[in-house]
Amino acid sequence: MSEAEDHLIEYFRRVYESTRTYLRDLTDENAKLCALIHTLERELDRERKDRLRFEERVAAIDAERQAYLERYLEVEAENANVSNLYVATLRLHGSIDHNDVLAAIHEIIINLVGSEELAVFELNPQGTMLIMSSSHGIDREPFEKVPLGAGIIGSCAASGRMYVHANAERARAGPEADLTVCVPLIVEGVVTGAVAIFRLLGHKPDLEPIDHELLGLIGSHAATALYCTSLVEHTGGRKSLHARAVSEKP
Amino acid sequence: MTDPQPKAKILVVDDSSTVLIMEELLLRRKYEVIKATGGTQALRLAAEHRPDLILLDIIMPDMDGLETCRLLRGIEATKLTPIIMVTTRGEQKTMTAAYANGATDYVTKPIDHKELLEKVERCIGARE
Repeated sequence: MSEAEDHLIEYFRRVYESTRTYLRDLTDENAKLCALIHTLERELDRERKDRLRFEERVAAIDAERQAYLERYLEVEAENANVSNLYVATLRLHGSIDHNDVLAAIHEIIINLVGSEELAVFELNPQGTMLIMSSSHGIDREPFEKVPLGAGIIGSCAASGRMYVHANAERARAGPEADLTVCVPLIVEGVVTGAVAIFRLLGHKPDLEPIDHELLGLIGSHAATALYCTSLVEHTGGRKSLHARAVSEKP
Repeated sequence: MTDPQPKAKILVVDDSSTVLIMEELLLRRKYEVIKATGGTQALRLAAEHRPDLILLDIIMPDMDGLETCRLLRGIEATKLTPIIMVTTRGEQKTMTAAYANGATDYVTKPIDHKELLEKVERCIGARE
């Protein structure tokens, strides 16, 4: 074998060795990379699960926030209703003067219910006739005296049941054509009068749930307040009350 | 420690005690409420207290809200003060008259608490 051939063989042997080493290194590197990919895949999977959990948590918090917002709005509306009822009660029981109580009834209906057409009736001592005590924005003449049981207002007082119009009934004629509500005034189960509310304000299309609560409150508290004023009148009026207060001072 | 920021002042004008009590209940948590029962008293209190906002009823016995509004615009203390008309008369011609007399905005009765608070906050926020 010539020297040149020996060199060539040696050269190929070295190339073979280095290629084998290189291949081994590559195989090792490949194994390491496979392990790394596996680790990364596991981490990615964990991250995905974490993200899913976070998304679920965010959705839950968002739903909770929405529920709180809805509840807040409900409470705000309830609060507004309670304030209206409080103010109405305060006004009705804020005086023992008959005219003041009538004025309070008017203010409540105008400003809280939303009608500028109303009448307040009180039952005569015989219990046969509703006598108009005050009115606002209506023609008084047809309603000055309403026999108990006559028409919607008289029937409402006779039965002791509140009347609220149904839209279909709007077509009726006569002085009660525009009647929207009639509230009997009741003290201790006894009808003492009635409050009639005719057309609502133009921008108020219909009664709302709070209006029914206000009307219920008028039915009982306005009745009691008016009844108290009559008791005060029978016992000598406000002057007598003030005189008694002065005489009782130590 | 710094003093808490003073509350903005609101002058509420209405001949109805029912409305005055309700507006005070609604506003007193965040604002200082000054009450007047008529236009003449409103003009005096406005000059005295220089309110940040005025809630003004339209139908009042001594001087109606439109006239009061016009006169308030003539006073130095209230010539730029926002005035919200509070009224049972929600029709267009009343509102046009209110704006012509210097009103900033209006709400109708029965008062929607949320609407009133939003308008009050908007007016006072814009002023600040």
